This record gives sequence, structure tokens and C-alpha cells, in this order.
Amino acid sequence: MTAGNAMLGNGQIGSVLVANHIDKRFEGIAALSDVSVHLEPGELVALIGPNGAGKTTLFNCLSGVLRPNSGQILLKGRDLSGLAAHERARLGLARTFQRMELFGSLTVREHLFVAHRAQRRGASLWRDLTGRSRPTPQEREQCDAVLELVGLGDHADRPAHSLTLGTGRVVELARALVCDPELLFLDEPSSGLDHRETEHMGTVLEQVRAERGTTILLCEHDVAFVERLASRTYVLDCGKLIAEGPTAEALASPQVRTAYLGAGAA
Amino acid sequence: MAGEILEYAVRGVPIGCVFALMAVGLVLTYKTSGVFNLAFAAQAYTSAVVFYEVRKEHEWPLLPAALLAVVVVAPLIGVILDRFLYRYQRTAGSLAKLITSLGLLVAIPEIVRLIFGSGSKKNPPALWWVKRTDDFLWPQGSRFVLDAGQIATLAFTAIAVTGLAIMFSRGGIGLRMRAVVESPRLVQLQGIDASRVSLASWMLSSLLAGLAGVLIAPLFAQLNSLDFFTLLVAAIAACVIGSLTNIVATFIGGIGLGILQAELAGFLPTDSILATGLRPGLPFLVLFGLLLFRRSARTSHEVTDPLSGVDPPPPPPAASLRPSWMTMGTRVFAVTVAVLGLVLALFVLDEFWLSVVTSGVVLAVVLLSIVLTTGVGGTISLSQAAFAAIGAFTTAQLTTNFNLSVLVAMVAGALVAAAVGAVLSLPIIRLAGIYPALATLAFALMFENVLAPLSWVSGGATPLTVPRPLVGPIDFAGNRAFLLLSVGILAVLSVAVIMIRQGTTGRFLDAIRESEPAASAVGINPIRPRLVAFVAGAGVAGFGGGLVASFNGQANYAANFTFYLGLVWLVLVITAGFRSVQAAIISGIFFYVLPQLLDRLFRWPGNYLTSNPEVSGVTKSVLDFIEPEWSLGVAFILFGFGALTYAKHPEGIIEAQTTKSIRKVLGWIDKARGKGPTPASEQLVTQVGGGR
Ligand SMILES: Nc1ncnc2c1ncn2[C@@H]1O[C@H](COP(=O)(O)OP(=O)(O)OP(=O)(O)O)[C@@H](O)[C@H]1O
Ligand SMILES: [Mg+2]
Repeated sequence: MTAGNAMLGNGQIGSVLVANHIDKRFEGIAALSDVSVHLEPGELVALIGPNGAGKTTLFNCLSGVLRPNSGQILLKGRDLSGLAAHERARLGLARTFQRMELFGSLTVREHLFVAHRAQRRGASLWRDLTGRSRPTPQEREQCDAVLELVGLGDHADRPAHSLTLGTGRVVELARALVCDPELLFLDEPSSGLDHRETEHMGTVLEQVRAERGTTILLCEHDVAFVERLASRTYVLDCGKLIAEGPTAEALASPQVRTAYLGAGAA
Repeated sequence: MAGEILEYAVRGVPIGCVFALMAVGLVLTYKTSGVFNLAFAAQAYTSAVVFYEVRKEHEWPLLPAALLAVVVVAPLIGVILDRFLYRYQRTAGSLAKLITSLGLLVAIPEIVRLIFGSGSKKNPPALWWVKRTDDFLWPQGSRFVLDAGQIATLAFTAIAVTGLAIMFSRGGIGLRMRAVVESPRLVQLQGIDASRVSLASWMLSSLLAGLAGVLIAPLFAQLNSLDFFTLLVAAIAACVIGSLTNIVATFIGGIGLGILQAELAGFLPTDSILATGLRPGLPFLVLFGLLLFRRSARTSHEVTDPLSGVDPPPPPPAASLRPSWMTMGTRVFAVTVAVLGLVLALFVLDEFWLSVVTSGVVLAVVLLSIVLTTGVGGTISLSQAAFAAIGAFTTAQLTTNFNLSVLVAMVAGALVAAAVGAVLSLPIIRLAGIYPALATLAFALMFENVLAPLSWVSGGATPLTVPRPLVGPIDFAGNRAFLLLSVGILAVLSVAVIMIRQGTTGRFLDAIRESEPAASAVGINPIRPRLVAFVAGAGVAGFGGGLVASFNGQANYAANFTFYLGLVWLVLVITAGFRSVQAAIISGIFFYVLPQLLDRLFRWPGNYLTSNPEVSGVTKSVLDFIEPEWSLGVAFILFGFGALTYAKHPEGIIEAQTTKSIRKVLGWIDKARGKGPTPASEQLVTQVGGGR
């Protein structure tokens, strides 16, 4: 048993997110069984595990895309069960997707405007009809600040369908950041990126954490990337948490080696 | 009591069999080729007409007549559709395929009428060895007596079921078909020849549709393609009972519906509102109830459309391609054309053409609702004509019974239509994939068959009159004044639609359409904006309906608002480009002008012959052959076939053409400047690996 195991399921009072005993089954297959995680303010925590371990499923349960079969999720002490994805988003929970989900026909800047507007003001037919739906100076300023932060300034007016995968992933990140989230879920932000783009993504994430203090849960396959960024790591295999703790310790634990390299390697 | 229940049940089984046959055909093609082929209604009608012609008009014996109508013509249509149409849409999204089938649903009945004439076809014969259905009754004297039509239905359904059972269990193509129906993904992996399976299932399901058409025909006093649409709703309800996957459940569901209908017919007192309303409305109610409670209808297309590809990303809007000077230029040009057109209409056209153009402008107001609901809101709605009718009836009732001013009554009509839309949208908006289209189809047909004939809705058999507006001293009774009024209204509503499309609501809807998960991840409620667009669309349709009624002087359902007309409008706007306001306006005018132009064209040979009596031989017979009455049918066929372009140009042909011209002009400019690509045309290069 690693030291971290003692903490399983024990979120503290000040935790940004506490998820206790999440179970999720798909037609009898247990995709998650009794998974508990907690995230403290300003932390960057990694979630790793082999393919099909249930990482994306956990993200979907936390963000409201899927309903877990049982378990409890608290965002800053508030119970999220029964809330739809968009309601959770407005409470400060932002995410990116493993399979990139961009609004193809919108430009990069429009992505940010839409996200910003959805968070704060919403749509009103009356405002649309009276011509008061253009971005306000304040909205422009905040969107430009995010574009600046992630280094997308040059691409701001290009439609999303013309972007490369690397830029697209940064746009997803920017779209999540403009929501000014308490908590950010990143589902494999570096997958499909080349070395240079991965490097850039890492730098951006470090900056985001430094400048905004956003709490981040990062799902990744790239171990070097995780080692560089994450202070703590959860390891998921076949729907179960098999290790948890400071990144170096978690990665070195025998269960993790078994899961990744097969039984013989441990 | 028990005896009666049984008696009615026996009476319901034959019609239930017809529902079931049709439904099984729908499921077969849906699961093997991803097409939910609403055009089966038209194919059923085709076979019924062919059978009628050869059996009744040409007095063929039963066997050759049945073979021709059911075994030759019906599968042949299936082969044509598969080989020449759907084969090229295999990777298209489910929506594109549905829209193709809507186009066929419009075009096929008109083609049939062109070929066999539009004369009424009274007392369709049964698929049996007798002339009239009651020439053969069995068992004689029993309370369970069945006529030739019902017996034929039972017999041929039994044959069809046995055939299907043998085919599906004996191996070969039948077994492969069943494998595809039951588990399409698995099958794709195992490399079953999808093309052959698709062809076979199209032939088989078209045969079933043709059989259903011939079998149900004797129930109608005369053959009318509209009656076959109603059959479609029952079949769709049966399909939904089987979750669009399970053939056995679908079949049993179809028969169950038939029995339920017969029980209601038997037990409800014939003169009660329940009997007149509930019985014909039953399939619609069942379909609606099922859609409400089926969770699978609400999950995304992954589940409901096993075979359809993801809809490809729409091409960049033409407007985003052109430099701003060109945008300004186009706008100036468009306004100039519109103003010139209006001046021309007001001062040059004679009364006849003036009224044609005004009809078009008035219709364009209704068509704007399609842009709002479908283009901006992303919900395929087949009930916009019903909303227009609601607006028209409200306007008529209020002006007739309460002496309300027409314009005020029109606004009230818009509000009532919007309210009905709001109630309807609550279940519909949550549905995914093709289900909203099916649900609105059910509503529209229920409105047509159950609500529209009621006197508190429409005023009964004679349409209520509606005056033209009189605003203070300004009287819009004259056609020129009315045209000006309609153009004004159209302009205001067009601007409103554009404001919504470009405003926050429109942006949110763009986001939801492009990626619903991402939209909700940034906090957009994925239901609300679509609901708003649907309700606003219903309101616009209602207002347009009032305007149509006022222009025509009456709220005439049969002439202006039928489900079939609504279908034609929808395919027309979709073809032209359902996101664009110009497309709606052009479609409205085109809808009335094209038949008139065709009429002139088809009249020409006759006139030519009259003035040149010396023409003879082949030329004469060819010229004689052409009938001016064809114009409306040919126009509708063209409108229907237009929808087939959707799969290639989902943005609409107007938009596609604009994009093409812009590219060309930009190309010329580059060339004239004699240098490499300018930033303007560089934007067109789409980089690999980006977006969806
Ligand atoms: N909607 C679904 N229906 C049925 N099974 C599902 C569904 N989504 C995921 N699964 C199953 O749940 C398990 C976990 O999948 P998940 O996508 O969460 O894995 P993952 O850890 O994100 O893997 P990867 O590293 O490949 O992204 C897998 O076995 C997967 O097949
Ligand atoms: Mg994953």
C-alpha cells in the first residue's frame, strides 16, 4: 500500500471537488467501480491509466455528460447530482474533449465570445432583435486576454475548421479558460500533437496555473508530460483506482507497473 | 362483450397487417442503408395505381396484374432508388437521406399522375379474384365475416411473413440482411458486402410497400396519394414500437395498432367527439406517446443511426469567403434588384402576374419560418403548413366572429400558432436524429385529418372569409397596395430572422449544431435556444398564414395549407438553402411563378397547332401529346427532385452557386494582378487534420 491510499475518498473541507464512490456501468460492464477523487485549490492533478481504463468515463460523470449509477460529487461543497452538463459548467466546471469538439464554422474569437456569453449573460431573443447582442468592450477585453495568454492571437479570426490539430487543442483550452472556471478537466490535451506543440501546451498550462490559479485535472498518456506538470497523480485501471499520491511515487508503485507492463513485469 | 371485443379485433387485424408490412419495409431499409424512407408511402400509392389501371381499366386477370404491380413495378422502384440515388449517399448523414426521401415523397405521386392521368380512380379493386370487394364474403353469415379485401390482406400477409421467415433463416442474402439489421457495426467489421445487402433490402422493402399499397387500396373510396401518407404514420408508429430495430416487435406493433383502431371504432359511439377525433388520430397519438416515453429517441444519432456517417462540416459560408468590398457590392446589388423588381411588379405587370408575384411574396413570409425553425434552429419540421393554417384560422375566426381588425387578428394568429408550437416543442425538441421530423409529420397529419375539419377550428366545410387590411385611411384591398404591404412585412420579418441568426441565439444554435457536448460544456443549455427558434418559427408561420388568408379572402385549408403543400415548401426551401433568407424569398416567388411559366410552355404546342393546322405526322402527335395541365405536376416534380441535391449541397444551391462565383471572381482578380494567391483566396485552402 502506498501512502496515498490512506487518503482515498477523504476530501477535506476546502476541496474544490470531492467525488465519492463513483460507479458507472455500461450494459453490465463496469466502467468505473468505487472511484473516489478529490482536488484541492490550485492543484494540477493527473489521471492516468491504460486505454479503456475509464478515464474519459470519469470525466463524463464529473462534468454531467453521463449519470453515474451511484456516488456523490461535490463542487466546493455543493452536490452536483441531478444537474445537467450546462448547469455544472455555469457553476465553474470547464472541460476539453479527447476527440476534439470545436464549433467548425465559428472563428476562434467567436468560440470565446460564445463561451463567455453562455457563462454570464445567456441568450435573449429580445436583445437579438433590438441589435444588442454584439460583444461588449468588456467581453472583448477578457477574450483577448485569454487569446494572449494561450498565444492564439494570430489565429483569432480564422474559422475553426481550418485549424491544425495542435491549434485546435489550444482553442479548446482557451474556450474552457474564458469561462473562468474553478476547475478545469483536460482530456488528453497532448494527444495527436507533435513534440513542439506538446511543449507549447505544457508551457501554456503552467502559465495558466501560475497566472490564474485554476485547479486542473489532467488526463494523459504522456508520462513525461505528467511528470513535468502534475503534483499528484491518480492511476486508474479497469475502472478501479490502483494508485494515488505524489506523481513520482504513484508512477513508481508496483500496481502501476503491472497495469502498464503486464503481470510479468512487476 | 367479450364476443364484441373479439369481433372488432378480427376486423382490425387486416388493416394492422398493412401497417405491419409497411413498417417492416421501413425498418429493413433503415437498418441496411440508413435511409428512413418516407417515400414508401408514394411507392405504395404507385403500386396501387398500377394495379388499379391494369386490373380495373384494362381488365387483366388477377395474377398478371398482381405480378406487375407488386412483384415487378414495386421492387423495380427500389432498385432504381438504391442504384441511382442512395448508393451515392451511403456516407451521407441521416438528415440528408431523410430529405432525399422527402423529395421523392413529393415527386413520385406527381410522376404517377403524369403517367396515368389525374382522373379520379374510384373503388380500387381487391387483390382477389372478384371485381368488387363485397362480391366475396367469408365465412358467410358469421359475425366474423370478412370481405375479399380483408381476406386478400390476411392471405398475402401470411405469404409474405412465411417468405420473410424462410429468407431470414435459411442463409444467403436473407441471413446477411438480418445480420445487418440486428448489428450493423459488427457486420461492417466482418466485411459483408454492404452494396448487395442494400440492393436486396431495397427490393424487398419496396415490394412490401407495394404490397401494402395494393392491399389497403380497397379501403378508400378512390385512390388519393394523401391517404397513403396517413398509412405512413401508422407504420412509423409501429417502427417506433420496435425501436427501429426489432422486426418482430415492429410487425406485432403494426397489427396491434390495427386492432386498437378497430376496437375504438367499435366501442366509441359513432357521433361522439371521441369517435370523430380519437379514432383517426390514434396512430398519431400512439406515435407521439411512444416518442415521449422512449428514451432511445432522445439519445444522439450514434444510437439511432447505425450506418449514417457523421454529417460533414458545412462548407464555409459564402459571406466569409469574400472580401468586404465584395460584400458591400453584393448588398447594393441585391437591394437594387429588389427595388427594381418591386417597381416592375407595381407598374409593369398586369393583374394576373401581379397576383402571382404577390402570392409568392406572401408565401415567402411563411417560408421564413422554415429558415428560422430548420435553418437557424436545426429542427426539421414538417408542420410549418399546419402552423400557418392555425394562424389563418385564428385570423378568420377573430375577424368573422369578433370583428377584429385583420392585422391585429394576424398577430393573434401568430401568437396562437406560437403557443401551439410551444406545447408541441416540449416533447419534440428533446428528440434526436430523425425523430423530430417524424413527430412533426405525425402532428401535421393529425391536424389535417382530425383538427382541420372541425368547425370550431376551421369553420367547417366552407372556408371562413377574411378581409384585406384597412389601416386608418389606407386601404390594402387593391392588389398593388397589398403587394406593398406584403413586401413591407416580408422585409421586417427577414431582418428579424437575420438578427436572430447573427445574434447570440443564432451563435448558440451554431455551437449546438456543430457540437452539442462542447456547447453544454461551456454552459449553453442545448434545449432552450432550439425551443425558442421552434416557437418563433411557429409564430412566423402563423402570421404568414394569416397574411395568406387575407390575400386570398378566405382561410382555405385545402387550397393553401395542406400537409402536402407544406412538404413541397420544405423541400423547396431546403434545396435553395434553408439557412438563408434570400432562399426563402426566392423559393416563395418561384413556387408560384414556375408553374405559370411551365403552363405557358406547355400551352405553346397547342396554340402552335391551332395556328398551323398543316403540321402533321410525328411532330403533330408529339405536340398533341403535351398537355397544359401538366404544369403544376411538373413543377412539383422538379421541386421534389431539387431536394436530391441536398446531399451534395447541404448549404443549398443558391449558397453553393454564390460560393462558386466568389471563388471564380477572386481567381480572376489573382490572375489579373499576375501574382501568387492573395490572402483572400488563401483562406479557401483548408488545412489537413483540422476541425471535424
Ligand atoms: N457510451 C458507452 N457505452 C458503452 N461502453 C462504453 C461507453 N463509453 C465507454 N465505454 C467503455 O467503458 C470503458 C472505459 O472507456 P473510457 O473511454 O472511459 O476509457 P479511457 O480510459 O478514456 O481510454 P482511452 O485512453 O482510450 O481514452 C471502455 O471499456 C469502453 O469501451
Ligand atoms: Mg479517454
